[in-house]
Amino acid sequence: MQVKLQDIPGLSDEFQTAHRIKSISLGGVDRTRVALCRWQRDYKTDWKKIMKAIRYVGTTERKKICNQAYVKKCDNPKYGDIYEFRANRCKLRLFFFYDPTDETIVICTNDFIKNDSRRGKSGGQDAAFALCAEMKKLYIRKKQ
Amino acid sequence: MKQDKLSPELQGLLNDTPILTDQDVGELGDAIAALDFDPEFVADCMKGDFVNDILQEMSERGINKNQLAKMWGKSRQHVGKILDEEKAKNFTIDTIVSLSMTLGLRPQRIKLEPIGMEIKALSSVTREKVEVEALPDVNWCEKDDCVCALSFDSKNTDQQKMSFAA
Repeated sequence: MQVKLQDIPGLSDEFQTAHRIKSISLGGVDRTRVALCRWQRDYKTDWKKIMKAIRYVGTTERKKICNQAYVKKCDNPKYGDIYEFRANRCKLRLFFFYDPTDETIVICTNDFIKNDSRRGKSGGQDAAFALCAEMKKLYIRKKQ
Repeated sequence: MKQDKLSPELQGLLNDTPILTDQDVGELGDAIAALDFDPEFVADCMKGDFVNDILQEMSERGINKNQLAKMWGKSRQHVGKILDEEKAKNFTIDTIVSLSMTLGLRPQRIKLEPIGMEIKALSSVTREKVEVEALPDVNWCEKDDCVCALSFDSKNTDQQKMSFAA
């Protein structure tokens, strides 16, 4: 399977001074950019909050990222170092990890909508973290 | 070549995800670039930057919200509201200066820059689009391998949009 990193369109260099924000594409499927497109149309207010969180990480050195309103590390140790973009009173989540070989690259993987009735019983937030962790493993394997 | 073994969950996610068109990507790029012209978003980001700086300072100095409230002479609830941008309704310059100075910091003056003159890469604008559609009120010029289009918002002549396409 082809694994590629894509730019987030429209996100200028001005907001990527500390980290380059990328989305991962697996076999031509780019879940992050699809989610951002959909959110921009269907959840405009919350989409803006996520974009603000992305800018925060893009412009802040990793060791200085301390605002958990925007970024939260996964609590479950079995998934390793994976994170979510979030915001207060925002139902959208975007998962990411830092490229282990170049920590100035942030790689967004998949999305999650809290209390989304269309999702059904399967696929809670923990499952979304698990998907992010799996994509991270796949990315690292392909990079070796 | 060795086949990648994906979990059924990841395979399902990929199967359920539509393929993006160039138009989708272009629209997303335009929407993200347009955030720079959204006063509410820009104000939110400025508040966010301030809050992040305060949180960082607190973290570096090991100060919690209770201690900050005591230093500032305000209630813990007030501090909580200011540091939660969603709740902060009275986020005034006086508040910013007062809170900063409590921590021995002084905010620098706000710099004003013209918003229209910044070059924005709008991926949906191509040379063909500019030429074929002959967009009204769009001037364009060509230099080396780039075409540059300059347009003025008809409702707001102060707002200019400059785009380029290779």
